[in-house]
Amino acid sequence: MGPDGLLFRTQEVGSLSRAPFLKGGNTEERATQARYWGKVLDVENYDELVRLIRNGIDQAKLLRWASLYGIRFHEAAGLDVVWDGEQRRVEMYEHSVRNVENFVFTGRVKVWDAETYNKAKLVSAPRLRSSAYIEEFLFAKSKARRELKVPVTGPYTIMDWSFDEFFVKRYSHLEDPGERRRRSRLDFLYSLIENVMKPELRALVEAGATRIQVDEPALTTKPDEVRDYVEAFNEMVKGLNATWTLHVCYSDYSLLLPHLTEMRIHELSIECANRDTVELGVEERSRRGYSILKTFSEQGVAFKVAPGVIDVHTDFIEPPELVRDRLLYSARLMGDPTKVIACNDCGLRTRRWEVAFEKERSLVKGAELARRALT
Amino acid sequence: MRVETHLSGNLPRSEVLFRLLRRHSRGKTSWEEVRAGAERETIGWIYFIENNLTLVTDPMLLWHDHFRPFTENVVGMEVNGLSRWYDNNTFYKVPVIKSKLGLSEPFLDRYLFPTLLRGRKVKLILPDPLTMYRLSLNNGYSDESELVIDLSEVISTEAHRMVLKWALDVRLVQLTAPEMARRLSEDELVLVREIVGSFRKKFGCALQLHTCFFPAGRTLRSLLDSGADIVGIDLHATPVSALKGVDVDRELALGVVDARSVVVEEPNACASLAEKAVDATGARAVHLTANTDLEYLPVEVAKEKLRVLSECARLLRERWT
Repeated sequence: MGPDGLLFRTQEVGSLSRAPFLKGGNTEERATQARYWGKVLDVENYDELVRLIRNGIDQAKLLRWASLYGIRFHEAAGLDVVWDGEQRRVEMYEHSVRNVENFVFTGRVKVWDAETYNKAKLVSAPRLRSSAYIEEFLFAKSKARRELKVPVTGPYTIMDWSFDEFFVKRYSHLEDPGERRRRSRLDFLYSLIENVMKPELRALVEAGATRIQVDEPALTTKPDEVRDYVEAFNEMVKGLNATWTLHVCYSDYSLLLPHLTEMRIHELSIECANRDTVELGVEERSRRGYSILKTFSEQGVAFKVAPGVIDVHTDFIEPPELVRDRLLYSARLMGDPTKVIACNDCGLRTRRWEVAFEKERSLVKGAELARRALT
Repeated sequence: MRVETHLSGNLPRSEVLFRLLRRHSRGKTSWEEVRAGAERETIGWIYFIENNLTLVTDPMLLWHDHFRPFTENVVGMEVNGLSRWYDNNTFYKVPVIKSKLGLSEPFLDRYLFPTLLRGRKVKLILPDPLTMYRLSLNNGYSDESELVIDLSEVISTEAHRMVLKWALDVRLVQLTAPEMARRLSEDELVLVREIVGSFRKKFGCALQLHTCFFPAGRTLRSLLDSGADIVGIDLHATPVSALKGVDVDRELALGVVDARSVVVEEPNACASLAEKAVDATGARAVHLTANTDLEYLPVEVAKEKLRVLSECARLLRERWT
């Protein structure tokens, strides 16, 4: 049975923190990390990496090893659908924008607390310089033992997270700042879709990608733009044969409705655990983070939902029983357990590997408990 | 026409300070080291502000979000998960009201550097209680008006005891109030009047209600009637045409510089925008500000924008004398 036929299929959202042997420390410490995780994750020929670290290894080779460790990380945890933990990516936005002409980085700005990103400004029409995804996909495809899902940064998020010095000038004659903003952003979005996203996605599908996740954490930022985005997304994926997942997080998901129902996606991945309690139970009081699923169900959405059952912003290891209860409650709200996928809230980039691994193992064990509860 | 210039929100941290804060959150450096780093940057910012603006404000470099010093310290309140701060790629941690609010030990001076403000003409920036109420999760009060008034009380009392302790010369208090531009019912306007009265009485200085992110036209008349000395308007969300016909019988703070765009405005263009706003409203005096926090920008761009404010003020003073 393929992953699609599995009840409470398990998958991740995309990122892991950098492999421990990529981080600081002296050569011997990094070699020790490579050996430790090589054993834990059953990485083939990990002794070769240990030797290379001791003798000197170039960054490109090291990143390929990190990518392999990322794939084995998810496989060893037992996930059904995997990725490489985005080991080659600096960060989801910067990785995508670096490969597009006419973006100029301006420096780091705050996202929350002490978390930042390197924000770029667009100074002329965007043009894809080289693919941000093909090389890593082909490598992952050659190594993965489970099915792959490729996460790509969506055009709305790239647009929203960038400064615009180009399209905004087209509308400087308009007196209403709201109208200036709306029109220039729509131009920006469609320009990214035509010049960047379509070539990227076409290349991925032609290279054999069957599952593609479009990451749009910014999607509800300006609710009046959701309808435009749904139209743009449908245009973007038209004619491309893949299973499409949309990932949105830390947002008011009700703002996606009703337009979301018209979106050509197969799966919606959202963060829920972050707003939930950690008490066991399958009633509304303890499962307050999942209430939006009821709204989705009432709207008759056709897609499956991957509600986050693992909070990626805390070191707390969710017990499998908590994962189970979150999945069972989600299934109840959706009115159909086959429409629920077991997933994290978001990428595990902010967690140490030790913590992230335990969280993923809990995800897998909790999904198994949920399956047993329904059979 | 009097023209003042000041901040309407916080300022960006340097990458060095972000790194220090991250190291602290991972237990790799002490809070004292973080404070020392923030203090160094605050000294630089205050020097810069003093050379460009008419009032000095602490850049609030240790505030993770608009509410955090209060969320972390007010009795009866807890910190919850992340939520988006309006239409920005910036998130705040949702305050959860668990029980009756109160104060214990003073805390605000741990998040600011009051010693650096002494002897200067100060503008203090605080969260608006109505905005904080709407963006919180209320599990503690059955009477929501009572909650807003209690929030007002804890915010004003804590800020005021810091002002007294450090003998600060506060000339202006701003309540950052995006929600007041979003919508305002008759009942809420009564609360706003009570909030304004309470802050004015406690601090004995001018009070500014600063709106941002939303067009101010809809609620401007109500805010002018609230007793506030100054109402702040985001001119990058509000078309000047929406201000026409609103008789502004007091002072306006005009967010002429866009803190969410890296495009640095021309001082002349800002001055023209301010003139149009004054022509449309008949405001008695003008306070030039950025429309909101400058933390959305890299440090150097934020500095450029503040220089624009300063130059814009100079141009307007020339034109209006």
